[in-house]
Amino acid sequence: MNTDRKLITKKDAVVILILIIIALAALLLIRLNSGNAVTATVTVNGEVVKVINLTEAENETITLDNGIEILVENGKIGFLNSGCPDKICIKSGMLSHSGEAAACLPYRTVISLEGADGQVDTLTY
Amino acid sequence: MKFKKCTSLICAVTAFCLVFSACRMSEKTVAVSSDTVAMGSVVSITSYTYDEASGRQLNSEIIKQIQALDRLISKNDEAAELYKLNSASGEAVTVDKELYGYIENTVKLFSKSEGKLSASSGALTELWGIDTDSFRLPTDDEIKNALPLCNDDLLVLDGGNYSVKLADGQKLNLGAVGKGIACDKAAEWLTLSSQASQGLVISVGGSVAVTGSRGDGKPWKIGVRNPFGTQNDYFAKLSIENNGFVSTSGSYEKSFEIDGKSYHHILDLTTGYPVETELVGVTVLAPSGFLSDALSTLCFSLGEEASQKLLSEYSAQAVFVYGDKTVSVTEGLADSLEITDREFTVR
Repeated sequence: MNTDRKLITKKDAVVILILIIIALAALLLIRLNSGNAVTATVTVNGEVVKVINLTEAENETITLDNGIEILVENGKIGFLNSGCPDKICIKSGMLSHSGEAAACLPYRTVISLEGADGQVDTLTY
Repeated sequence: MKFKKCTSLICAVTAFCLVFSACRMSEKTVAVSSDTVAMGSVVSITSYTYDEASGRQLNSEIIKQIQALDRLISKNDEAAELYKLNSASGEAVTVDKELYGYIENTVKLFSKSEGKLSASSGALTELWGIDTDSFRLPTDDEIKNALPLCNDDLLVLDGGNYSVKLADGQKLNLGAVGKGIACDKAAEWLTLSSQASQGLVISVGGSVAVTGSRGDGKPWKIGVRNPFGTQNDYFAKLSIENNGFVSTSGSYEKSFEIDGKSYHHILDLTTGYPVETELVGVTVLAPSGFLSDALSTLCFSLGEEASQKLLSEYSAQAVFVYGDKTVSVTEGLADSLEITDREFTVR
């Protein structure tokens, strides 16, 4: 037996080190998870009808109950087709950054992007 | 042996604390976003609360407040109090105290517009189809007939019993302040509600309110729309600590073209036609949403020089954007506005 009265033995040091590494890894993981993901939310009349994680989304065309078509492509999202007269929604183009939004007012449909990708909280216009 | 046990225990406790605090860091604030269409525009709210349920609750309460406001001040909704008041022109009508206040405040502020703006611009804005987004170019005669009705001096306001009397054919239009008032409603609700909330950002058709904080100690960042770009392009970022109200008026919003000539929605009541100016947009930071919304329209109509006195009178700051992509900023904003698009330069 080691009778030496060291406060911290080699074994202890290893245990401390491992635990610190686990804690730091947990911290890093949490940071990364909340870091770059951009989520697109589609609402009709204020009701959420679709939530899409743009960072992981596959390319697809979504048709909503009101007939509006939404395109998801290469991490971007936008209005593809709408029965509205002015097509302002389609002219808004494809969105990819948090804080961006596009709307089809006649169909009360809104796409808005949220996430912490270092952009802006909102836009004034 | 005793010491070893002791140190192991200390390690375990320390490690537990580290892991625990790492987990805690991620759950201290929850951002909850809600979007809807109200007041003829997109309403986006993000609230920062301690749990998702109270964030959702808060957002939906605020949306209800805005819908209630719309039922008060909409000039197109037949059920709205303002619509009813407009329909009863020629007779004195007792209105809701709140609506009376908005009318009175708008008349007061627009009396400083050198005759360019008024609360009773409805007869003219309807001719141009501005409130309904179905634009048309009125004839000179139509404009000549409508202009005298846009004079707030014809209004009879009685603060004693909150009654309003419009001249025959006169129509109130609170479109220039409605979105700002909606921002005030949101900020007010946050103060009144008992829900634990750290902060909130709301945009009502581009009029913005920020209150409190996001929980990460960083200031709010508001993108200022690039008047020459698409809807989501901004040319500058405005940093705001804690609370602020920001609105923008520009000739790029609600504009239309007829025979190659472009017309925008901010009408000059001295001419009956859209305001002629070198400005393409003005963004105002003010102590209330009503003020930021009203002042952005005022400053756009008056021009930079004539706006200075008004801005200091109401403790507001402004960003003036010109057609040649030059930008002018009032002193109080010099440090908080960051131009991110290099095509824009400071005048």
